[in-house]
Amino acid sequence: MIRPTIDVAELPEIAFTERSPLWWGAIGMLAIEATMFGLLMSAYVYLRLRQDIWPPAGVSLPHLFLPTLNLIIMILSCLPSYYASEAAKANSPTGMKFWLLLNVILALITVGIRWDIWNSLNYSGRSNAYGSIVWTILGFHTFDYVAGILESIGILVLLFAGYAGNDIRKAVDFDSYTWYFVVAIWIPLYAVVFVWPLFPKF
Amino acid sequence: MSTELIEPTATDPAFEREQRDRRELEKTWASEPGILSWLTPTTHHIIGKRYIITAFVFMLLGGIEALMVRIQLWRPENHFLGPDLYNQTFTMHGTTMMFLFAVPVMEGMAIYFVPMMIGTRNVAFPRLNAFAYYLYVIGGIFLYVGFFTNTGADAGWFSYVPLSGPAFSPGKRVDFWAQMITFTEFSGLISAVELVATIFKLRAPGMSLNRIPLFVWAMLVQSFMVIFAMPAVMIASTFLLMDRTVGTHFFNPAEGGDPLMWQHIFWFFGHPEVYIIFIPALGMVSTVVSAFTKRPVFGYTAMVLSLIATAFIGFGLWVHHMFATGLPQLGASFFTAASMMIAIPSGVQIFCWLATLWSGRITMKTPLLYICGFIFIFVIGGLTGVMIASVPFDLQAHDTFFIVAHFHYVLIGGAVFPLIGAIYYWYPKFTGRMYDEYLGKWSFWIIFIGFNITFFPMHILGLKGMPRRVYTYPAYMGWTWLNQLVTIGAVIIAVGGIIFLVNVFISAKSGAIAGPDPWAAPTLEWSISSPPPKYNFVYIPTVRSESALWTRTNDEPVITGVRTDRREVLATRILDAEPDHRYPIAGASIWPLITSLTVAFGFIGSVFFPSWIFWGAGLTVFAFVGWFWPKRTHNEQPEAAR
Repeated sequence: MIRPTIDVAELPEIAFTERSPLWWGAIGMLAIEATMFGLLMSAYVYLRLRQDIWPPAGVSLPHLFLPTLNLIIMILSCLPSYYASEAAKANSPTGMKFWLLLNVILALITVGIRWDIWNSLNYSGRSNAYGSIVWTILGFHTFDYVAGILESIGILVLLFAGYAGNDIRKAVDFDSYTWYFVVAIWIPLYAVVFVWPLFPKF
Repeated sequence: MSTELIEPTATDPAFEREQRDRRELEKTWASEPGILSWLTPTTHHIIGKRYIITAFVFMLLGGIEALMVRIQLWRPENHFLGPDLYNQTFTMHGTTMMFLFAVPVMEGMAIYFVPMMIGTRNVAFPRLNAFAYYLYVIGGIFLYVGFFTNTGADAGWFSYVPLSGPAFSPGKRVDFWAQMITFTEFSGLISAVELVATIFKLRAPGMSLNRIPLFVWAMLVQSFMVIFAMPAVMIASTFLLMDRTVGTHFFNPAEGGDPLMWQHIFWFFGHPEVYIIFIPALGMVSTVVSAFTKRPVFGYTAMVLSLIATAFIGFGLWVHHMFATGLPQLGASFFTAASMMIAIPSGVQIFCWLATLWSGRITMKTPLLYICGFIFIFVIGGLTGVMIASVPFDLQAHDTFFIVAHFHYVLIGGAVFPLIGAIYYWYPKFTGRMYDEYLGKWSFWIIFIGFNITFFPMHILGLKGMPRRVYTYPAYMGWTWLNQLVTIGAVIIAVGGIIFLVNVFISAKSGAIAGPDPWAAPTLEWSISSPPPKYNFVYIPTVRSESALWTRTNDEPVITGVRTDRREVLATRILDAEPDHRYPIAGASIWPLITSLTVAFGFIGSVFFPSWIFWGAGLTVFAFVGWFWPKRTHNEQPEAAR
C-alpha cells in the first residue's frame, strides 16, 4: 500500500487578515458588538417614535462643537493604528511602538473630551426613558472604547519591555482592526445621540 | 510543498516515523497532572463532554420540574405546589430547558465533533472555549442557587414586563433570571464565534465548502444565527436589570418608556432561538440518515440552501409571538406570510430525507428509529405551526395549552429526538463501546408513546380553553381527565428517559468494544480510534468528497510537517481549503477559569450592588493580562507573511 504525503513544514506560521483564524474570530466578535449597538439604536428609534416631544422637556442638548471635534480626532486616531498594523506585518518593533503610542495619546485625548461632554449633560439615566437610552448608548460605547485603549496600552507596555515575536505582531494587528470598529460604530451613534434630536420634526 | 511516497509496512522508515510522531503527539497533547487536569484542560473533547454532561444534568432538573408541574395539575384544586412555588417551577422548567439545556447541549455536541469531522486537532481558540463553558456552568448554578433559596425566577421563561418589572416583581427573583441570561448568552456567543473561525479556517485540505459534512454546515449556520440573535436578549435582560436595580425607565410608560419594547427585543432573539436549537438537530438527522441508508443525503445543495433559508426567514418571524398585542394589520399579515414561508425550506428537507430513505439500504437501528420519530412528531408540530401563523386562529389559541402542545412538538420532536438519536449514533465514538440495542429500542418506543400521550391531549385542552401558567382549575371545566392523561404520559416519558440513562451508564462499562467505525459511516471522526486520541489525527487527512471515508482510496495523501512538539494545526483557505499556514494553538491554561470567576464576580455582584460590575471589569483586566502574557521574548525571523 502506498500512501502519498503533502509536506507543509515550509508554510509560514503567521498570516494576516482573512487568512488568519484570529481575524475571523475578531470579525465574529465585532459582528456581535455591531448587532448590540444596532439594537441600542433601534431601541432609541422605537422610544422616540412613540413620543410627541423629543427630547423631553427639561433636557438641554449639548452643543455640537465638542462632540464633532471629538469624532474627528477619533477618526484621525485610526491612521496611526493603521500604520502600527503595517509595522506589525513588516515585523518592525520600532514602527509598532511609535504608531501605537501616537494612537494611544490621541485616544486618551478623546476620552478626556468625552468625559467633559458627559459631565455637561443635565439629565441622567434615571431621569426618563430618553436619559436611560442615551446614557446606555454612551456607557456601552465608552466601556468598549476604554477596553480598546487598555488593550493598546497593554500591548505597548509589552513592546517597550522588549517583547517581540508573532504573538505581539498578531496582537498589534488585532488591536488595529478592533480600533477601526470602535471608532466607526461611533459615527452612527454620534448622529443618533447628538445630531438627530436637533430635528424635533424627525 | 513536496510530494513523496511512504510505504507503511512494519519494517520501513515511514512506519517508524508514524510511531515516533504518535508518541510525540501523545506527550504534547497530554493533560496537566493531578488537580490541574480538572482546572486547565482546553482540548475540545473534554470541554465538549463537559458541556453535554452539564446540559443533561440541567435537563434532569428541568424534567423533575416538569413532573412537579404535572403532579400539581393532576386534579382540580390541587395544593401540591401552591401558586407561588408553581410559578417558580414552570419558569425554572422553561428557562432551564431553553437556556441551560437545549442550546448548550448542541454547542457541546458541536465542540466535541466538529473538529474531528473537519479533520483538525482542536477548535481555533481553545482557551476561549473553556472560558465559555465556565461562564455557562456558573450562570446555571447561579440560577439554581436562587431557586433553592426561594429566589427562583417566577415571571415565565420570557419574563414579560411589566410583570417582571420593579413594580410587580420586587425582590431578587427576576434579577437572578436576567443575569443568568447574561452568563449563558455570553457563553453561547463565544462558542458561536469560535465555531465559525474553526469551520472557516481549520478544515482538512480538500474539504471545500461543497464537501463540508451536513452537521458541520448546520453548526455554521446556527453559529451565524447565534451571533445576530443572542445580542438581543442580552440587551433586553440588561435593560430589565437596569430598570430594576439602577432605576432607568426603559419599560416604564410614565417616563417615556414602553413595555411592548421588551416583547420586540426579546422575540427578536426568541424566535431565532428556536432555530438555533433546531438547526443543529437537522444536521444530526442528515448525519444519521446518511449513515443508516449507506448513501449520501439526497440533495446536498438543496439541504444546505434550506438551512440558510431557514436561518434568514427565522429572523423575520418574531412578531408572530405578539399577534395578541394589537399590531397594525399590515404588520400582522407580513409576519403571517413569513411564518408560513418557513414551512417551505423545512418541507424541502423532509422530502430530501424521505428520498434518501426511499433510495437507501436501511438498517433500522435505534438512532434511525429516533429520526423516524422526529419526522413523525415534527411534521405534526409544523402543521400546528402553520395553523397558529394565522392571526384569527392565533388569537383563539394564544396563551392556551394548544401553544404548549405546539412548541413541545417542535422542540422535543424537532430537537430532542434527533439529539438522543445522535447520542446513540455517536455513543461508540464517545466511549469506545456499543450501547445496548435492545434497551435502545425499548427506550425509543416508550419515549415516543409517552410523548404523544403527554402532548397530544394538550392540543384538545387548549381548544377547550385551558390557559397556560394557571396553577389549578375548577372541576366543572371538564379538563380533569385530559390532564390526568397528560400526567400519565409524562411519567411514561420519564421511564423511557431512565432506560436511556441506564443504557448509557451500563454500556459504558460492559458494552461490546466498538472499534473505530462500527457503522461504516462516511465522516472523518470514524477514521480514528474510539474514544478519539487527544490530538485526533496523527496526520491531518485530506478529503475528496462530502462522504470522505466512502470515497477514500489508498493514494489519497495525508499531511505531514505540522509540528508535533507543540500544539499546532493546519489553517486552510476559506473556500477551497488549500493549505495556507501552520497555526499554533494554546495548550492547557488556568486563566480561562480565573477570568470566568472575575467576570462572574462582576455579574453576580451587580445583581446586589450595581457598581460591582466595574469591580468585576477591573479584576477581569488583570485576569486578561495573565491570559495574554506572551511567552517568547526573542524576535522570530521576519517571514514573508503576506
